[in-house]
Amino acid sequence: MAYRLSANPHHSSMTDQPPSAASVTLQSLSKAFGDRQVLEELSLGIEPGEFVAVVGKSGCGKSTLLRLVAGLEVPTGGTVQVDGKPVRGVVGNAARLMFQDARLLPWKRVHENVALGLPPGLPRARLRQMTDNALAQVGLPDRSGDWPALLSGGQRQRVALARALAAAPPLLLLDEPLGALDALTRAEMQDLLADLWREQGFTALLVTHDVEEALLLADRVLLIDNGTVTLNLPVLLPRPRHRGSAELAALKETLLTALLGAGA
Amino acid sequence: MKSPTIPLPVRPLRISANRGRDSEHPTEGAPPAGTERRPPRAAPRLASGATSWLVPILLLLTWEVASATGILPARILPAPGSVWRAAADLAISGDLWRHLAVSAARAVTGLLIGGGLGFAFGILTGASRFAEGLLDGTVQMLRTIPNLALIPLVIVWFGIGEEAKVFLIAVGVFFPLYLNTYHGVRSVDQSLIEMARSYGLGGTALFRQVLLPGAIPSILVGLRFALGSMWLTLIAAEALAAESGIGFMTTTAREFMQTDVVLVGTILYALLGKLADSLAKLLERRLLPWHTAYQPTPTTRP
Repeated sequence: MAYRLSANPHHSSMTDQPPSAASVTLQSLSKAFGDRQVLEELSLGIEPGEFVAVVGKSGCGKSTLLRLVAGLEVPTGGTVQVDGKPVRGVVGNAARLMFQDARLLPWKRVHENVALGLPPGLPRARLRQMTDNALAQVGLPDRSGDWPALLSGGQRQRVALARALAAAPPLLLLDEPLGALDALTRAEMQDLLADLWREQGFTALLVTHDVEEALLLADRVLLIDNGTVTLNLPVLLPRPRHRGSAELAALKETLLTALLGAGA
Repeated sequence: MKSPTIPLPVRPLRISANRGRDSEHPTEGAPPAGTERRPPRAAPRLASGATSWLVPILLLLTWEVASATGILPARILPAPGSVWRAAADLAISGDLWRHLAVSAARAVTGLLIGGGLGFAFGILTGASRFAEGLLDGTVQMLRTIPNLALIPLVIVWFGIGEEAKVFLIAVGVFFPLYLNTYHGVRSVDQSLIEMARSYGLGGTALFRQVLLPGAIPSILVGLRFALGSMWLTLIAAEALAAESGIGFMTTTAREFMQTDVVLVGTILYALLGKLADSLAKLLERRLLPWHTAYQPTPTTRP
């Protein structure tokens, strides 16, 4: 995306830290809400820097999986480890979470919202410089002083992405972050995500209902059904990937067939 | 007097916001296709402004004519001119300002004490489930007592001095501020709180950056209800017993059948109420610059 690169000539990581990536390990993870068993004995390992997408029918527990990794839910059994450390309570700076809605604080200007993703206590000038860099990376260099109410849905989600990546987190958790966007904006955001992931090298775990999105972005696509992983599909296509390619279409067919057969 | 119920926080904001923006939103009653979509902004607003003054001016003229011809005896309603002269006399002698200062001081003291307590308790029960369980039921029960019903008890407790008046006003403003603060903190979007927590905000940081700013629209609605309650209680308290203040001024004037001074007092109450409401509106604009109601039409796409 030319405008993004021109807006940010030094496209290194947004902080001075070297790019880092976390591993994620789930061991016999279970979660039940009351009588309803959502995840059952699910085990999974994610390598540092890997991009993993999780697909599944709605209600299959894929969002719960993500919320467990983020520490927003407490497992009923098993463990979650990020970089070898068990997750207890909110995962904090080790991971950042992007939601389906942008969840910007309406009473903070765009750059103040981005600053939420940065450690508190930074000098003002440094903070502003870092938030401006983060906004430039997502293609919104000139909206830092705006109120969120003035932004479009796609722009809000870009700000949310800038907030999530501002402190160069080792793990980015994405809970259907593009589900509410129109097709064109979604395609733009997918390219942006792919670029930022390649530049910064963080580990990414994406939950989506969009099979094509999963195949465009991920190294590996997992299908969750009845609370466990029923398909583990490596995506060996070269990057950057193209939406129209025959290989992608073939994989999409495979994945859709598996998805439609799920729960039967 | 009844304590106000909890309104939707956005409603008064909308009202104030729409005042200057009607011509920017031509969706309702839009002109038919082919006609000019946006008429010049100044013309219709000026016209409607002038129209709204028409009836008051006509009433004032009728009043003046009725007084001058003797249809309306000065004992019932003195002429506008003599009301104006009474106000001028009171202003020159300094009585007007003395009474005004005393009344305003009572109102502000009561508002600060009762409003401050209402705000503090509202924050407490809004932010803490324990405090809610402990206090909210009791407060909701006490809320049903009209504060003017306390007058006999207040006289027994405080006599008829300043404390009694300030106490009544404080009680009158406590409940609207308490209710709307509590409601405001409670109705902050849960998804925003979850987001803030996942970004490591907790305790005071969460309160200062998420709960309080999210509650402010509702708190300001509470403040405007409290102001209404404040003037009403002040009038009742000053009519009851006082040695100074606008209420004292009008009560004394009534005893001497100075209807013009009574009217001056009545108009003063109205002006003070209007002034307080305008200040509250100003405060809304200062505290809620982010609110959609105070922003230009949003741009939808870059």
